[in-house]
Amino acid sequence: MSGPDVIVVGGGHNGLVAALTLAEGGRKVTVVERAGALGGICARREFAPGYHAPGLVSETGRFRDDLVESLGLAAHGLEFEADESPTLAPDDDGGLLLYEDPSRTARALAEAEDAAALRDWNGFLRQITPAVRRLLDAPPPALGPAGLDDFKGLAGTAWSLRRLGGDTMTELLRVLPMCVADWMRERFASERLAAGLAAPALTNGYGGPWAPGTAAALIWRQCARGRTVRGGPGALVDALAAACGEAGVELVTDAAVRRIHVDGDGVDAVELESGERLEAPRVIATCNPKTALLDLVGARYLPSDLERALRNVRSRGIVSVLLLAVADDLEVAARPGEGVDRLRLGAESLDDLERAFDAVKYRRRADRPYLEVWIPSLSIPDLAPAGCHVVTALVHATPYDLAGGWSNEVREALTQAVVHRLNDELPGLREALAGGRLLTPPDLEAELGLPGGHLGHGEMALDQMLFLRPTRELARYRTPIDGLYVGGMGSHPGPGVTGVPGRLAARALLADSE
Amino acid sequence: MSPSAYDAIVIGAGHNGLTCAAYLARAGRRVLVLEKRAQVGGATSTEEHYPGFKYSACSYVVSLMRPWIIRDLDLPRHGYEILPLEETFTPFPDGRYLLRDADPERTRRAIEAFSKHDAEVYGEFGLAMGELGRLVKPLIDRPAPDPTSLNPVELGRLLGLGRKLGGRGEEWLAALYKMSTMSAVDLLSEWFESERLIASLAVSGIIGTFLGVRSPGTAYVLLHHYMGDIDGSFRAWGFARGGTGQVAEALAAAAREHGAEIRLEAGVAEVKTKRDRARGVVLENGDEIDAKVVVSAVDPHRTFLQLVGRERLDPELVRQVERFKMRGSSGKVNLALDGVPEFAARPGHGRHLYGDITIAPDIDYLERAYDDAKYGEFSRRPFMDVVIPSLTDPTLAPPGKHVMSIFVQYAPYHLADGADTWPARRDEFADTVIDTLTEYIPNLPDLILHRQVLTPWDLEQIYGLTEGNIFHGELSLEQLAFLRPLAGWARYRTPLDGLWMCASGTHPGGGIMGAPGALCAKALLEGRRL
Repeated sequence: MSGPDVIVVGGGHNGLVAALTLAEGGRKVTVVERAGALGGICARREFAPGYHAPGLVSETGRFRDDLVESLGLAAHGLEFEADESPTLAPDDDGGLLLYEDPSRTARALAEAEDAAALRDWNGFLRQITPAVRRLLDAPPPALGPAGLDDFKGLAGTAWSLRRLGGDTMTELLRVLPMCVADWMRERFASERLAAGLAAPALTNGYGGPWAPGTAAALIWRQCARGRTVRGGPGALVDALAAACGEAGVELVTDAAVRRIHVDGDGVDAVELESGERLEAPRVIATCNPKTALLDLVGARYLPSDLERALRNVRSRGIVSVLLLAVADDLEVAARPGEGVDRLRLGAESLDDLERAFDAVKYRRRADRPYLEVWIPSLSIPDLAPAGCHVVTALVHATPYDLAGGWSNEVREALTQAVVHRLNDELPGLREALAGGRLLTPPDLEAELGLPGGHLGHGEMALDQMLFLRPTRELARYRTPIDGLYVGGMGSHPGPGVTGVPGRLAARALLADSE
Repeated sequence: MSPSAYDAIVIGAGHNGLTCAAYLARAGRRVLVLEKRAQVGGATSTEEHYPGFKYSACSYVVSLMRPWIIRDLDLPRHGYEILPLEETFTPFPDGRYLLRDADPERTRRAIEAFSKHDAEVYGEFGLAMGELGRLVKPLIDRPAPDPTSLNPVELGRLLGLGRKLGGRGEEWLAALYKMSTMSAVDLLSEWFESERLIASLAVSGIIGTFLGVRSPGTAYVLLHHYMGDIDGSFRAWGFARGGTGQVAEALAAAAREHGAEIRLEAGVAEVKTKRDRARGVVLENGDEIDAKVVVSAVDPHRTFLQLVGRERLDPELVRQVERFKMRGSSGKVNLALDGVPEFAARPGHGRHLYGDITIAPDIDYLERAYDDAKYGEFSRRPFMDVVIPSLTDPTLAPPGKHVMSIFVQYAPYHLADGADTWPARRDEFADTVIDTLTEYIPNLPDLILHRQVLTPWDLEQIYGLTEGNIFHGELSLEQLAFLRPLAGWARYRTPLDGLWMCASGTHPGGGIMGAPGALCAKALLEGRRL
């Protein structure tokens, strides 16, 4: 029996999208995943007996619609929420309801001035979205003399930017390098609205709202937003896996890769930790590209410039994931009966967010970290026993290299502090706590193979975007090793559950082998 | 139309205003420069506040003064002379120090004491920066290219840059893009492992900005240190003989020789307009002077919001001017000293005193200094850039005595309790500076004969720098090149017909380069605007 045409390393969302794209192109594909289940950061996981998290991340709204269609995911059970569920930023006054869609936030807002400003901001975002999406959905534009195959894409991007009109394009170019704090303060009078809107820009970065370049992260997010997957990230993985099954993709779990073998100039096999050797002429690595090239391939196969560039890719994790099992009913105190299931805490002002990051600079954790909270069991009842709930929290400002280390005492203190804070908004949570799991950046590194514990395979920063993601040499998904491609979140367009890196890497492979 | 007495009026006799005036006069135009203060130079000034001691009050080193301007205006004949500044001395609280200078071997050995690895790559780093520096240098000698334009001339300009890069274009463009967007610490960490070396190098990236060494966008300024010309006609950094004010005096002499008139103590109250066109100025004493064009060498806020006035401008333009960030972040303390200061880390006289003395012991120290400023306080332990120019230029102080210039960051204009609380806190600020410096120079307090303290508030009051911003507007990416000072108005013209801008608020920005002034004059002359 002949082996696969392509081995995909990593069974996360990008690995599965890559596999499907390749299968669509007639290739025989094997996916190898180190964990016992598919999905990576999107995998549904039981973290306490009877309690499941639908994934370590909570956002699915950026998975590309056209992927859903072209991969036929609807036929495999993928459904979308009819409506966007807002995020509550609580305060003494009932709190602020923030939607991804600024015009909806505007509708829920009491202050007329800021509501108008939101609509104006939304107008700007709508103008730039087609051009920015074009950038996000295609291989990054090449800096150098573009080849012929590239020319069409480049011309298209240039044309879509040009169509923005001079003023809008200038404004986009002005805003991109800005810090999100300045941008939001230019537009909004209310500090808590500015902070609430700015906070998501920090999710995959390494900086506070005063760090230049964070405005670009917010633009990325806003322009990529779409519909939320019903059932969360886990449901997306289920649909992708089902589609893979039907397409004849072989899915192997508990199959951590030890080495990617190179023979001559090209890749020839993947060796598992078990010692098993899987031969294939092509490999797409969807893990962190540093892992793929420095650890699995080995620096001695790389040009020294590339080795240096890869070692310099920054992936300092500062976000921990806290999963809580709650053996009782839960409700957001500030909005009873409204079904609010998401909270944004610690983002009351831009200075709050900045101070939280200040701690990170000195390798401390923040006293009042920014928290992204989700109660997934409110919309996905089968995650917990009847009448019980699951709470997930992304806890920011918890650095990988914490001074003094992540001892059990430190972990317990962090858990208690977050539980205490959550209990204010979700009364009864503390008493009903039936279990939990804290994944600090070092835990994320050890369990999921994320270098530095960074959930997005590399920080979002101006110098780690587009044609520099993950490095200049690798930005087009190809590597100097024949047959080896990179296609995880470490590649353009980067972090978040988009599926785009996996698709673009697979397309590069298909184009090369036609 | 009645003939104007002058072809051009230049508002402000800072180094850019004078450069612009000199170029216009050299081309035969009738030029009047109006200066509010009793001396020329603006923030490029030498001042005597204590008998016999000459302070370079604000700007204290000359950076990147364009060689073609020096040649065009024959400045050396007018007293312009730059004395080299080659050493960088960084003392540490634990008694060690790092001394870098122009001798590669000596510098390598000095760095080796902190890291063998860093000593080895330091030379390579310098070469890489030098190559990039040469690449970007043309940008500061020309008007900013506009990437949003479809004008063939513009596209040609951008392509020309691409061609210049040759076959390694992609590699160089990527490196340049990284330099423009990274933080100084991130960039330096790609090369070096010693925190002390990184901190000592990184501070160049933050001078005059409201950013920390870890803030993206601070790496670019590092390039400025590596832009020295091959022919050696100028150096990246130096002292002007006679103090920084001598640069302005030389420019003023050149301008006068070409026929420009410079009027001191002649503050401008407003720009006169007639039928939506600038026609001249009204002085603070009520006098009106007409000219074909008015060229403002003051900052964009002062130009548009005070001299022209909101009521005469389109509200959208006013909004854009208001969001052009000025936030000053630094102050100056100038000292008259009774003798030579003695460093605990390196006692006695020596080369280390002649160059740049950097108080930047580690990265966290610098970040803490920045954190104080973010929340509206001056740094409890500030970053300081210290020079003792009288060691190099004995004309600045009586024999055996010295002047010390201390550039202090961060000193945010907007204190938490309001900018107007600065006067009440001026002494506390100066004491903080001197106390911190005394930790490194134990005999400093005994030597002080006089001190001049310039908070951002004072910089605004005395020199007219809005919010005390020494660069006429922050040098952040969104305020550079084709966006400086305003999108669509980066070519020295302004939306008000007949009004032009020629100072640091325009491309290529702050520092004593002279480029904005000269480029503005060229734009006026080439465009046959007068």
